[in-house]
Amino acid sequence: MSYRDLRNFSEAMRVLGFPKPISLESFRTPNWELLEECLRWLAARVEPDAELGGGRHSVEQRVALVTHAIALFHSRANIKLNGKRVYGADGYAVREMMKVASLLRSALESPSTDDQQHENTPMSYDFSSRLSEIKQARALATDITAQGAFLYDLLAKEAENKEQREQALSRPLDMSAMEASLRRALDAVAAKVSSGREQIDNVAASEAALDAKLERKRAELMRAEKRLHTVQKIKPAYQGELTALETEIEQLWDQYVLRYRCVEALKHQLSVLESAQAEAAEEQQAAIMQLIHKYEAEDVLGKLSDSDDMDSSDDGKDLSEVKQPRPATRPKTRLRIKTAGTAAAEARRAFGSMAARDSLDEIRDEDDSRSDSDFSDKQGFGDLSISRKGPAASSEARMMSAATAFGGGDMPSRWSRSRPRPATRTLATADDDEFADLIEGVESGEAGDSLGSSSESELRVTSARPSAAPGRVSALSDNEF
Amino acid sequence: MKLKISTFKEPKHFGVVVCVNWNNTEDVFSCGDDHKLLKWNLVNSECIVVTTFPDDFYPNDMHLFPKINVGGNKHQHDVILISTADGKFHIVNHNGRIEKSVNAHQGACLIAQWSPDGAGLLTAGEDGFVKVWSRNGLLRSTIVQSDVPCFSAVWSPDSSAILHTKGNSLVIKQLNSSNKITKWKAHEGLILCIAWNANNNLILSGSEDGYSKIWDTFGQQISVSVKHDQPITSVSWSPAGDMFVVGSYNLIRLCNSNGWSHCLDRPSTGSIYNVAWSSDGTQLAAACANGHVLFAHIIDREYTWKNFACNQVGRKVIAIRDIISDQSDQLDYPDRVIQIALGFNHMVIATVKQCFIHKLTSWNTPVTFDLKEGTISMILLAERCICIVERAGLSVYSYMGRLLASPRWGARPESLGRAAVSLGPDALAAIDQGDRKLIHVFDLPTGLIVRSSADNTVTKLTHKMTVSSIALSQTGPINERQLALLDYNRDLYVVTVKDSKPKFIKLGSQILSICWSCETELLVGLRASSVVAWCCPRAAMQPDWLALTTVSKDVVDLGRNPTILSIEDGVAHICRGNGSILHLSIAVFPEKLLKHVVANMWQPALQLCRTVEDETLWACLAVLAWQHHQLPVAEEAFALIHQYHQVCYIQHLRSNIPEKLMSN
Repeated sequence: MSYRDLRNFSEAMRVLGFPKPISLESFRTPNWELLEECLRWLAARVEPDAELGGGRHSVEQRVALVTHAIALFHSRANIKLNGKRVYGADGYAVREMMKVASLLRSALESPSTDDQQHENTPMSYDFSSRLSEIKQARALATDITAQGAFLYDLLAKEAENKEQREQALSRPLDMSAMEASLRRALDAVAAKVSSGREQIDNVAASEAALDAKLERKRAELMRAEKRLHTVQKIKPAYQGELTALETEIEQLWDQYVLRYRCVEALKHQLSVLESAQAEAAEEQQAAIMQLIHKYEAEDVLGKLSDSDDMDSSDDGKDLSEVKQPRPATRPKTRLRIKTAGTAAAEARRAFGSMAARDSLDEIRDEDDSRSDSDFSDKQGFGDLSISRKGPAASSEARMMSAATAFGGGDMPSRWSRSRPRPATRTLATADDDEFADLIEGVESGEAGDSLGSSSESELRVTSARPSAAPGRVSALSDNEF
Repeated sequence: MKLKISTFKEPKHFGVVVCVNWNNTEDVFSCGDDHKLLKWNLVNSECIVVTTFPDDFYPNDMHLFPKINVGGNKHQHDVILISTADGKFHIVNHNGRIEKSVNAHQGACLIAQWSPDGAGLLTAGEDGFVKVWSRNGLLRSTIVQSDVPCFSAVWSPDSSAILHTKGNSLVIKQLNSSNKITKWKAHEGLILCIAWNANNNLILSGSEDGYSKIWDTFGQQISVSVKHDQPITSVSWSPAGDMFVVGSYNLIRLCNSNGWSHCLDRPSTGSIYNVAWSSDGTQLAAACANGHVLFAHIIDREYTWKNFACNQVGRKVIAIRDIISDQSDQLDYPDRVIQIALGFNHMVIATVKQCFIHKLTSWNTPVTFDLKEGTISMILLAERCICIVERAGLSVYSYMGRLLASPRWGARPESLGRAAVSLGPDALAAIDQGDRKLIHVFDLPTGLIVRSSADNTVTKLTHKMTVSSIALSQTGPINERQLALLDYNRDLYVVTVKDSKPKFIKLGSQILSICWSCETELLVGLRASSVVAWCCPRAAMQPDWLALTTVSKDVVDLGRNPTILSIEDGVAHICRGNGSILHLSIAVFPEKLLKHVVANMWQPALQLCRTVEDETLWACLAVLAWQHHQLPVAEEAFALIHQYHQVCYIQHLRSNIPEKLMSN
């Protein structure tokens, strides 16, 4: 057994922090030195102030040491050690010392949690939370005193109560009455039990009923779910049609959006062109007015002596100057006007006076056609406004306004043309010719534009019969010519 | 590498736990001074009380019957040997019933241990006796009688000797011859614990003076630990012998087999009286003086191969990292990871139940197959196959997880060390455990041709000495497979396996460790203070050629017992005695030359030699060209290394024999 004891003792001393390692062989032979050291050290752990007497040199000293140690351990730690064994300083002494060491060790191990608690509690100085406890304590204190007084009163009554009690106790017991009362109690209990049983049965029954109900409801739920599934599965008859229509609408919408965007883009281009043309027309107007003034001035000043040739040459020179921008502004789309224009110009170049009349005729024709076309335009728009609906209407309105604005823009030019005509009919034929060309240019631009916008032209062709009229009229006029 | 320690919150034992032992890799038995025998299950972390012994039952030592693959009643093997403080030893079955109690010693019976082969048991007591008993508890002999208590005694791995302590000295006593005793003074203090490993045959001792020391079987000190403040109370080798654990007061230390420390933990457990490794060598249990049983896993095992590094970060988690592309990943496994092997573009992970083969190019989709038994002790990798060493036996698998072969030669695989077995691309070599002069070389089915495991051709090679370490070359056709072996005298021999008359050619002596290059037939060996590379081991027929083709480089302070880990592109990775890894460029150009030769590219090889202008390189080229019958190349090379007689001979051959024949 000494191996195990030594092992455990050595381990315990190691845990306690004994500075010297204790070998497993150390107490195989009596080892007083180590024993003394261990005893002194253990005694110091048990009682820090204690100083063991005695020593190692003589038997008396050793005995004194052992007795002193035993007394100390007995008084301080309540441990009884066998002095004879300790004195032996061998394996048995180890077993004795083990008692002390294990006590110290258990002290080291067990209260570690308590220690922490003890350390923690004084740290909390926060008594604000405990103020309410004062009130509680006071209430408790008053309660205690009240209870004490009450108890005192009751105890005062004890003297007379005692007699009554003893009387009651000494009264003989009536067996039959007791039996009856017991039976009554028994019956009452039995009734209670039976009612309890009944209730339990009822509970079972109601449980069954509830179960049945639950089952029914569940079945209903199942049915309803099944129905829901079937209903969900059925595809309505119009579904296919609806989807087809939806896709169709989708396509139509795409188409519409595309077209609308085209229209808008073209409109923008148109407006740009219009403004450019209006500017050009104004410039030319100004130039022509200048010329007219010049010629009028010449008229007024009576410089008729000048030869016609000179005039024409001047004219030609002027024209060539003025004509410069014309090919640029004149669109090449409208073949009729172009040919007519060029033909007129050529004719004018070749035969001076003839050309003037031709061009005048043409102007008149153009005037007619213009009024026609204007009218047809309007009608076209009207048609448009009828045929289109919804969002198109707004754009329609804008177009209308644009058209009227254009018309408005056109008016002055017409006016300006018609105003000088009576005055210069005979004298400034070439000028008129010039005007006609100009007006043609303007008109052709407009017409070209209107034709250029495909939708509009389409609409005009398809919807309005009268829109064909200007074409026919112009063609007729051409033919007539 | 470090230990991850886990304990239960509350100690399950009341008082001291004296002994622990593993039943299998999941179950642990522990016994303590509270007379209880507890069984711990690590998988579901529960602890059940198997039995409570009588009050006077104070256990001192416990040993489970060794798991050996012998037939017979399995029930008979499920027994525990417990020695107690009243001088008895008890044979207890796993249900806790005491089947036999034998009065063995006066005073306490301190040690009781089954022999490794399970044939008998030994007990040692306070009375200084060491006795050997039969399995049934009948006294066979009293081996030792002395007047000092014997604190520890162990069987030698082959059950033929007993090592026991006597005060502060160690004694090896052979059982068969009574007078042969090896005794040496090992420590200054009382020796408390010893261990003897089967794999490396080294002895470990721990003493009250605070040192733990490693000894060989002749009593020579291999290494000594730092001084601990408190007595060493327990030591234990890992089963593979590559690590050991030292337990002391409030201290547990994991050490490499060379003695340097992997990690140190200071759990507040009191003295650790007993440490036991699980059979797979990844877990250990420790009995602590404060009633705890400590469990520890080995984590942070690191492996690297080329640009890949993997690290076991948890019990079931492995972090893998590709350094070049900086890709990293954490792989979680369903079970505890036991073994990891990285190499040949694969990572093989063995868990308790399964084996996972990850291809390093796409490591997220492993090939998985089930293992026979959960105790893998080793994984070897080669170019085309994997060898898995389980307790049930060796199995060779392809990288697709197909079983190729399961060679048998009557070995006990759990005590098979890394030095005793070697895997080549198409062969497996192993040292016979009974007769260590004999080497078995098994041909493995390769490619699509699958032979049945029965007609595995086995080549048996017998050396004149005890062989300590073998290595198979990793390249070349099967007919040129070479085996390098180190024998007991540390002499290095090379033998071509498939020769009809295998001839052992000595390459050098005093070699500590050898390794073949993975890609070529370059053999590198380690001497005490130099590294030697044999570029053409087959040139050893002619000693002057061998000398010419050998490169040697002096390296200082390799430390004790250094090992070569691998050779890559002529750079040797050497693990020095202190655990640090040394990268030494030794044969970069020869290895490049060898690669050219393997690819049959003689012009680049010539160019390389002309550029480098090194005599050794020219010699290598000369020898290789000669062996491959490239006479023009050989002629030039021999001329440059001044082997004029060879040049003349070649010229003679070339002039007399038509060119066509020569090139063949």
